[in-house]
Amino acid sequence: MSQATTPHVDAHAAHGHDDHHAVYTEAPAGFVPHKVAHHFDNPVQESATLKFAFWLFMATEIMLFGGMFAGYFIFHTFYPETFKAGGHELNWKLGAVNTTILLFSSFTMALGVRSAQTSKRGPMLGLMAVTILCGFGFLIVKYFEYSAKIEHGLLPGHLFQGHGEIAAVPHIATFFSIYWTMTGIHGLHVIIGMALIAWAMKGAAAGRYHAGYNVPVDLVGIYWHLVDLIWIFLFPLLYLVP
Amino acid sequence: MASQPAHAPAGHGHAEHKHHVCSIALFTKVFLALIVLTAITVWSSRMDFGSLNMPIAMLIASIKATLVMTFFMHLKYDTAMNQITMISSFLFLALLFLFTLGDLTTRAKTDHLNTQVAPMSMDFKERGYESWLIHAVRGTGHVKNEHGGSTPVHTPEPPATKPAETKGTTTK
Repeated sequence: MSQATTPHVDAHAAHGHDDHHAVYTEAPAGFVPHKVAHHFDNPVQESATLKFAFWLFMATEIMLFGGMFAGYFIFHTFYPETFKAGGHELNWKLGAVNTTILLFSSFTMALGVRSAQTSKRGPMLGLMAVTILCGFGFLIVKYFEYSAKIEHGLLPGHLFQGHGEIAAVPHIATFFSIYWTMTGIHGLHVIIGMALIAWAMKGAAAGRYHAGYNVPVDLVGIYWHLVDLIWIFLFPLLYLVP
Repeated sequence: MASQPAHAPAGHGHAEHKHHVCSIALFTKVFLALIVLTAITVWSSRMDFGSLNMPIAMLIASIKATLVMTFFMHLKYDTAMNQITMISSFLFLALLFLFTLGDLTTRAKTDHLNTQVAPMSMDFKERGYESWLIHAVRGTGHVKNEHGGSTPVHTPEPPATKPAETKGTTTK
């Protein structure tokens, strides 16, 4: 490919007359053709670059959560009984409900991306809207969960104010530090993911995403699936402490 | 870039259309599999497989994660470069876990200070570590400890395991 595109690269080195060389992707009737950014030679190169960059970002996300999971395993190894006791304080039913909500939202998002690939604007918007609603559902469940934890003083580190049996468990504040940090940063990703889907819906409503061009929907979908992926590990580790 | 033609499915009209479009049936099957695996996760957490509890839970979660990445994230139909990028992140993660676990599981053998304590339940103070970090992590602020009242503080408990062996060496 590089040999074929060399002349274009030279042409762009001159700057200033990008519009003469503007490349548009095909769009089905009723959709807006995508203009390839001027620093790319063709739509394939553009989407391949965007996707590669996004997968690199996904790799950094795996490392971000991976570090926290390593911390979890270290302290779980040190204090397995503490983690068991801490896990019993969490409501595993709410955790299971949230797991189901996130799995379902991943399903609807995957179908939403499929609708973009098949140029179906209505289903695309509807499915992404359902995905965002699932995100809200997840956050509402989380809100009730967090409220109960705050009420019982099950807070991280020195903030821990728990009393009764749970306060007598050694190192229990460490468990709640891990619980709040990991679910908190995961929750932040849920919120960011919902905002990204809303942004993708804006473009979808304008008809910018279709069979000829749907990279943004695709990438937002991948981000949302990552949120699901992290939760798949968080749920058994925190709520059903093995 | 050499792999570009490989994932352009034949029979699609659009020139730019290089996406593999999964069927709704496939996505539905993946979703149902994920729900079933979640149920198995909950069920297995109520069983006691002893030391296999954690490996089993992680195995099920890994299968679920693989399903999500393979189909929902379309990684199966993506370029080799993107596949390697994602897989490499897990390889680096494996390195992190490998060395961490290697450290945790061999401390009792390598650290003579630790020979009297069970390898999995070491007490930092017991081993002479007194850094602020340990206190922060354990929630045992020594300053607040003296006042007692306002903030509940956990006093370091005697080593939980092997009390007979470690009795003579408790705090101070």
